Amino acid sequence: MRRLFPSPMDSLSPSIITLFGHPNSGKTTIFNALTGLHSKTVNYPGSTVDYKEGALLSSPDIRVLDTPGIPSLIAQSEDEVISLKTLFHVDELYPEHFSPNPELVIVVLDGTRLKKQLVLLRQLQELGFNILAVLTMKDYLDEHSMELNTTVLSHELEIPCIHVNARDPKNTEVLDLLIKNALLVQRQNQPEHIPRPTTFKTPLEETFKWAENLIGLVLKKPTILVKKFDPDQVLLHPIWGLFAFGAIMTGLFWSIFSLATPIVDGLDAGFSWGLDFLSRLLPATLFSDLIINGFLLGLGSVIVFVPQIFILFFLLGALEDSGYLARGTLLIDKPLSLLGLNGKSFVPLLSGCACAIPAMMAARNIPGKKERFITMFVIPLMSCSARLPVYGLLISLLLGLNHPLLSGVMMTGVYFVSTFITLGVAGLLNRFYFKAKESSSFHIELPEYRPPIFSSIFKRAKDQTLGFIFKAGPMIVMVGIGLYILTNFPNPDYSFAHKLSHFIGPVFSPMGIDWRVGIALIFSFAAREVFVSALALVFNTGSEDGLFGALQHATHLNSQELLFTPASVIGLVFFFMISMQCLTTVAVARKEFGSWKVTLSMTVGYVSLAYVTAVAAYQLLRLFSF
Amino acid sequence: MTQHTLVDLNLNETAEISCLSDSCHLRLMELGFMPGTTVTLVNKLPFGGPLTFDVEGCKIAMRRDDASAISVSHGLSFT
Repeated sequence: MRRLFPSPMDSLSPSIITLFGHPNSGKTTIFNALTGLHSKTVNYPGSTVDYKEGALLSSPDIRVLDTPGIPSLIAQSEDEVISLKTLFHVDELYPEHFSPNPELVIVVLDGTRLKKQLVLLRQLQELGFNILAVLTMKDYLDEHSMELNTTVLSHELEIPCIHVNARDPKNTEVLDLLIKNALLVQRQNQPEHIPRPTTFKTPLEETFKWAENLIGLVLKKPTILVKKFDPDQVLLHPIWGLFAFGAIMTGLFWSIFSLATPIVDGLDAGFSWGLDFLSRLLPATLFSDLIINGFLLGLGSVIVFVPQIFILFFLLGALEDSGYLARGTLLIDKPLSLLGLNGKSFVPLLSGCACAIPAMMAARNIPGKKERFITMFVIPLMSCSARLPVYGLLISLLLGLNHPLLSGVMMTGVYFVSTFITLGVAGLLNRFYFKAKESSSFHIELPEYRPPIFSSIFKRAKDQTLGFIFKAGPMIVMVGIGLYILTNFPNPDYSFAHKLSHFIGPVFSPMGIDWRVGIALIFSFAAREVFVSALALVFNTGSEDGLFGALQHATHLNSQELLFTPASVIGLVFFFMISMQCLTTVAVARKEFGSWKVTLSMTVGYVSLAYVTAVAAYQLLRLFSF
Repeated sequence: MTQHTLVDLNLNETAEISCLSDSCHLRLMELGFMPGTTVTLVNKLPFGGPLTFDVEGCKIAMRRDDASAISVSHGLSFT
């Protein structure tokens, strides 16, 4: 029920504020300053694939929505549809919100590219939205001796305008006051329902002319422009650009392994020592055995690979923030277009190297239906971070522990081969599954290069790594208990697992592995990294040799033949490259494809292909007596 | 006289946009490719790869197919 004299706070409390603007205009930085939430700020168009929600720091009742950047009110791809929802269908996102429109739209304008952004602002204004204009990139304008007069701008637009440096707390305070004022005073003028427009009220040409005139009034440019060196002269050079691209990508994957090796070795040694110490300290009961050999061993065997995962996340983050990814998109558009993909498939595929789940969502940025479908279909084939522990272990088994350089080369090789498989499958899909040609288009705005901010990349990489640990941890513990029961009851010499071995053994022997590795492989269908902890448990390797040593000397059960020969290890590497072993990815794929049929055929297809490839690799290599 | 498009520009050549052929190129207009605006071709990738243009201080890249939909009247040439 409505009171006669609502207090100001009452009318503020259910408010929703939408941040809106072009890609790379600095929205996410403003969002972080307003909400204190350290969410992702990325220097690549379209990286905010889902909208983000935060609470205004000064009054937590007010919701702030951050949307993917969009240069238009007419959507072209899935992520743009989401952006527009935060303007015209807020009630779909928040059913309790009484209006389909937000109470306030903060239009974020990058001061260096004003014209077309003012056009967007004007269109919103014409629709009747309550608007606050926030201009960013103050440091950049200062550096180029440009001056922006926000007083005149505010007067001409008849809305509050503020030029901010989001890192300056004073700026944020002023912005906060302006927001409160806009919510209290101006919102009364906003119509009750603003529907999504299908055409422009004023022809685009006229709005552009208007913007040009306005810029003449508010922006002072120096008469002589100093030409600075443009990194694109090298990085987008017809020859050097391609070399640089190859070098950056190779360097990325090579450094994951080579930088992490000393840390991984140290952690492994420390962990084995700790477990050894603990097992001598605790009385030998069933319970302590379960704790040490069930939980800690499994957990530790995965945690030693965490540095690699952190380095991967860190390097990908640095690459994203620098603005190089948009260039990568450009360099690779032509080759990808031959495979039925788009330059815009590049970032989703690359983030597939970290995790398939955000990668699939990033594919919403791709406008073409077919291109988006193929991209999503092949993303699970990119080598994600959960495979790193598995590859790490398998490569150590292949080469031993004392070859960091060679291991780095092997790791890079694994990434090359899996990228090759990914693109190959994309090409086949394009050739045989989609016969009809779809018209395709590609254009992208290249952001300015900006030096990445170390602290923000570090924080993000840390959060993502912790995310991995918290996701993997419980899974490893559960699998640990399951495996412990399976291999120790009713008694260790004739356990449930032994009974199962008659069924499991024959399936896996063509791959050159016995039922013990088979069980670890089956458990890894919950999540790939579990393979390593499961192996540690099955082979009960809390010994002084560590996991590598114990596995290196493991033999087949009924013979003296070594279990992990180059042939069987390479077979396993192929299996993990191709197989679909992540339940979360299956769930997200179902959501993004909107079809169980596609998702299940993808899953079954990849598992079968993985098995066949692994068997073929093993049998072939054995012919040449590896 | 044949109609020139953005694809016909040489590297570092500047021209004025005269019209956009297709209504589906609304997005390109919103990105700054408005009739009357001057554009410079600043980068050309090999093997028929995308072209990068400078429009009012922003770099925008597009495929040659997309660029061929934008007609230009040949104007000033800076080489």
